Amino acid sequence: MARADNPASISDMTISALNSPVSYGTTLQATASATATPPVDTVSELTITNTIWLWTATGDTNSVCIETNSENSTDWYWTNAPGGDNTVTITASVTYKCTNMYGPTNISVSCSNTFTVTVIQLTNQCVSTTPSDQTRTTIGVGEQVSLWLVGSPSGTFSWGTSAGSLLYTFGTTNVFTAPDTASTPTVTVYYNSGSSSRVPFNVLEPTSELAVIYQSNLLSYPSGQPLPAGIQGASMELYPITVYPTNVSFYNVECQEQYCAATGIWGYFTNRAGPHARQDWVQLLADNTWADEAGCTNYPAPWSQGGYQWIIPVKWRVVVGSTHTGSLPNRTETFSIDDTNGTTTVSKLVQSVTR
Amino acid sequence: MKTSMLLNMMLRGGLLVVIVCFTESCFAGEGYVKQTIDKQLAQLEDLWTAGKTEEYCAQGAAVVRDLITAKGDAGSISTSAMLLKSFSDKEFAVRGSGIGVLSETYDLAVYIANNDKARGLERQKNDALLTEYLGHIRREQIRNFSRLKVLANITPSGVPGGQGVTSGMDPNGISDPVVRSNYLMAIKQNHQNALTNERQSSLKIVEQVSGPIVQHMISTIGQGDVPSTLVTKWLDSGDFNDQEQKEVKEIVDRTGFK
Repeated sequence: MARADNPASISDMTISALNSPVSYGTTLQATASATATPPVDTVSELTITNTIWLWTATGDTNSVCIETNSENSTDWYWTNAPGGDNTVTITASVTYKCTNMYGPTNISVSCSNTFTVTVIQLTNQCVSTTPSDQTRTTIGVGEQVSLWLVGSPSGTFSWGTSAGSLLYTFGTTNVFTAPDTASTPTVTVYYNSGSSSRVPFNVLEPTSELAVIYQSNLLSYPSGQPLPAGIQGASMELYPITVYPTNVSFYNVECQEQYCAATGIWGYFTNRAGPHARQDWVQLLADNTWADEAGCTNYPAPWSQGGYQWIIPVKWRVVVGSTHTGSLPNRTETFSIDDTNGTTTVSKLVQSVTR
Repeated sequence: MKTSMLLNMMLRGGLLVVIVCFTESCFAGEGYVKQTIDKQLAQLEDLWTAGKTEEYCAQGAAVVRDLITAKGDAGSISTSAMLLKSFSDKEFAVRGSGIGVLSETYDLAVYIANNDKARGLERQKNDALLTEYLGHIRREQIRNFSRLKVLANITPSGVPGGQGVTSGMDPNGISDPVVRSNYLMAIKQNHQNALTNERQSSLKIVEQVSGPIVQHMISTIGQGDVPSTLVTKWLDSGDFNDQEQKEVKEIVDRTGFK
């Protein structure tokens, strides 16, 4: 073995994370350099025939790492590093291939250094589990979305939105509430380097309804018993009444039938048809459904043909923090007595029942 | 959560001026902040005592929003804790339906759990408060709750041979006092069902506060010097489930009891 006048050494590794913190998906860059001192041994007549640098990187980046050269200074690039603070250790090794009076010999030295790269991975998840895709960015008016920075990266983060509201101004988590009108707001999180990450949303309003008959010809709620024989009348419970579009959730929306006067009154119902009263607001379920009852009973004999209709305006609004009220298409509800037996037909939302 | 829900009501209730004054002056200086918040809390208590529940909720919502949108410090954490205690005492004493200040209690609890930098007894006090709050949320939930029927319109129960009735008609258009009274009762029940649904649905969402609360408690235990009797009390108070108890036990096993 060679006796060194000066043993080989390597030191002063410096690493700079050139662009940390970065947004998720951005290529991370770092530069590392080290100083190596070759061995000197005059006694054994040591001669260096080749110098080989080897750089390696380990850590929790779980990423593809590409080394761009093999000299004493290298540039490193990572892609797909996960959100959060990623600790990376870079190791530099130098192998001196030598010969001396005893023959060939290798002398190796190494050093390492650790640094942190911060990746800002902004993630969004709709609070409503319906529709099943909670990662969607097309959402309903008033719908809420949880937002957070994956891996809770270190640093100072502030939040902003172009429309709607955010629960917090600072921190690594937040809740976004969509505005009460159709719009395309963007939520942005700013971090200490002056950079930002953003999530654009597409906010949709209720547009239409479709009803299904759940059950018919029962006594009024909450009785639930069948209409007795001999009693004039027909009724139907409409459920579900689905509010479209259904690729978003309107769980934070409530709807209300408005006042309207009876129109098209004829025959039996002349002087018997009253107005439709404004009803309570009813909050939609997460699958955008609600329910209704349409009925007409107990009109006294003798019966004759006649009918009337209500053209009912339907309003919607966001349950929380909103002053805006929108409209769904009017609901047409018709009532008629079809013969002298008191046969009655009730229609609403394109559904109909006759008894 | 429904933090901003009552801003709308606040505007309707004419409380905007109060809130704006509060917002502008709230963070002008530490002493002034405390005075302002103390004044706001006193006003809240007055509203509650006067039975002005809606105004109480509106003003409470505004105070909470100002607290949690400001950058957290020890002062705002202790004020948040005080406010959470005040809200919880009232909310769970009187509510059976509707959401009251439930969303505000959620916001406060998450804020405290995520931003509390206190140690020792001060932090343990917050654990007691948070676990008691969680217990309230859990115990009020109805197991296997099925949503109650809520209809856009109700059909009155008519009398054979009497006045004909239609769904959604104006109660004042019914001449028979019994039919009208029954119709109004059915409408009231329908409305009550809607409030109960809303309450149970909100409680389920608000229960998500358990995550931050458990983590707060684990951090406290991790700091050491927590008596075992206190941990047991918190577990009971928060009605912790098996998974949460397991998480706590793991940290206790690593840290040990006082």
